[in-house]
Amino acid sequence: MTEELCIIARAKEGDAAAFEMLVQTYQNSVYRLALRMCGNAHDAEEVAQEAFVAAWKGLPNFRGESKFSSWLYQLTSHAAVDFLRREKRHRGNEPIEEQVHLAAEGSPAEAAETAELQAAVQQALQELSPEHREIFLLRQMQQLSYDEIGRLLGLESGTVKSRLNRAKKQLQQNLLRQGNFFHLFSVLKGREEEKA
Amino acid sequence: MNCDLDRIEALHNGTLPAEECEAVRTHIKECPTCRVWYAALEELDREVAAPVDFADRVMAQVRTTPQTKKKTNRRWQRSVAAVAACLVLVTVLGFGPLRGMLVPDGQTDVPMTRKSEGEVLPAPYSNESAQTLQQWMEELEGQQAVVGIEQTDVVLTQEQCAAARTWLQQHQYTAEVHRGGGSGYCLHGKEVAAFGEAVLGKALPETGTLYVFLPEQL
Repeated sequence: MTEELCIIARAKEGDAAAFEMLVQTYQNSVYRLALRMCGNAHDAEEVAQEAFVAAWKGLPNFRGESKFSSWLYQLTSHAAVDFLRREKRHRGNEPIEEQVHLAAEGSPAEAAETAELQAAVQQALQELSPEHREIFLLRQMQQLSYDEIGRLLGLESGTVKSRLNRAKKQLQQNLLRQGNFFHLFSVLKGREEEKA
Repeated sequence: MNCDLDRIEALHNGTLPAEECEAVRTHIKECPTCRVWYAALEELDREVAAPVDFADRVMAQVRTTPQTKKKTNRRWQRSVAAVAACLVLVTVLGFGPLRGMLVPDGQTDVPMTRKSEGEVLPAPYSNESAQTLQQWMEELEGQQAVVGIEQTDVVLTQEQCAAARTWLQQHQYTAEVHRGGGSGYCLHGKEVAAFGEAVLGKALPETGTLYVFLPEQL
């Protein structure tokens, strides 16, 4: 049994200290997924916290048929979809004022470009339906396979693939509609050079 | 090179064959559409850290939250054993899309059908019909089949089946019945109302019990 499986087994038995180790390990990835789903830090914190508490409550029934991380991401994305539906009922279609702002590195000009890129991507994501956003992020950010996503969402992998394609096309259209990417070449160029 | 989102993703993910990388990079530099896509992928990959005290806040809530006990759902098991008349096994082959069904508690006086043979057991049920049902179940054991009753008020569409499965998983329900390839879940009280709102988009009463039958995913 790997170390993580031992920790999960202990957490399943109600060992909060073991669960805390899992929280420490996954907090960034869960928060990041929640942030991308919700579009702002305040809601993301609430959703990420909800997901971890749901994981704690549900651990005794976690049978290990999927990876723990996949299960946790599923709880996170579901918590986000539920949250967004609830919020939509309460807020209507009011825009959320506070958007994702992540620390940007580099010169002030590069930081400004990066911030613009962040805003554009987040805006395009928010224009997807929660369900399309969920499927796209599980694939793109969490790198889950079609089969894994299908198991998590109760869909055939063919359905996952077709929905994912629709989500990508829609996202691309949303990005292009914003039409302000032409000047972002320097951001990309800088990143390519970093990679090289 | 033409625009190809998959190849751009492969470049981004590091899975593009080395000999293709340069051509795709050149294309990205020249093509605004693909540059946008590549930029978005790069942006989504950006590391994000949870707030510094996030884990502490999670654990403060966890320490006051009891874990859910493993669901054994004895009431459901009793129902299956004692009220076998509630169940019909329907063979899948030749019946098109699979469907799940909701069976409101107490609603058992509907005709039951074994579709493959066109057999119908008339309501209300007797010991004799229960025995027949038991026999059907034994015959169909191990085959791909759906457990359910026909002519209930609510028959789930395939979309609703998927939504129901997701909801049940999210709420940590464990299927208790796997006979013939179907899965059975038992919901009580407020769970029924929450399920109705989330999956069916309609109000279901908070009283009583709802059995949810879902087909096996093929």
